[in-house]
Amino acid sequence: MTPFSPSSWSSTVASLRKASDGRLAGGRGAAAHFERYVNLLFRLTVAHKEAAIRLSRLAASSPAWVLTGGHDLRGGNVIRLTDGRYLRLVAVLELDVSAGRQLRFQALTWQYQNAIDDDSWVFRADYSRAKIAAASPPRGHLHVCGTLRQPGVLRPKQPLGRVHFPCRRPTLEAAVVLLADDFGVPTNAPHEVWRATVAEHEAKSARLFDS
Amino acid sequence: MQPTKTYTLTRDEIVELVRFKSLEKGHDPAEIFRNFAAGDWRHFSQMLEAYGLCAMLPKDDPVFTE
Repeated sequence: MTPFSPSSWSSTVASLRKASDGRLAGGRGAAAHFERYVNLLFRLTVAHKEAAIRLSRLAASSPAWVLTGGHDLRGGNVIRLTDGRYLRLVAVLELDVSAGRQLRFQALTWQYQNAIDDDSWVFRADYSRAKIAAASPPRGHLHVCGTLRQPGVLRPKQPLGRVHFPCRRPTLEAAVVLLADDFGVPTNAPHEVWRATVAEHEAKSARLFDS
Repeated sequence: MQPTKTYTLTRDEIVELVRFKSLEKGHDPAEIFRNFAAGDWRHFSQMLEAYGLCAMLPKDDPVFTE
């Protein structure tokens, strides 16, 4: 059995499935299962071996948690990727009491970056459960840092990076697929393993967003 | 991928972290606390960790009205 054989990933896939079920079970344990799920998802796919995430919570009882890239509380929010670039990740989670204490994203952002600093971003997905006003951007939307080839399409002084392309539910699984398939970020597990796993869990992850 | 670190923070540690992250990005911490309380999460992507930390605090915490 080689480190790259599908069978060598079977325990990771099984642990991921257990964590996925746990995050969807709701209750106070759901955030810890979610953290485990995210760790295993990235371990299986595009995370560098030194990549890290952290989960922050209030000592007293609180229905909210923050999961971000990196280990250092005073550091940045990036996950190092296998291609040497970075994914900045911040997820604000809460227990939705109106839905049987199910775990939900209150807000989420993930951003592919060429370097560790924000200025080098390539694309970003944002999601906010709360829609503040009618003029607010779509709850889920995608930004792309680039320029259009066609002149005069955007309003004057409006960069393409500030355009909100609607995307209903920017799941972490969608981020992984985008990075691997379209940006060529190498994956740790073989294609048949990580693809099947992502396909199995992405639809379930939709439950973490607004219905 | 390294094992995840889990931090259990006190109210004062959270307030201090929000202040640190606000100043680091060039924002007035009081403005970030007020924005959160008003539901106006401006600079959304850049400041989301700070807003998430605010979300852990009780809504009537005095830091939101100072």
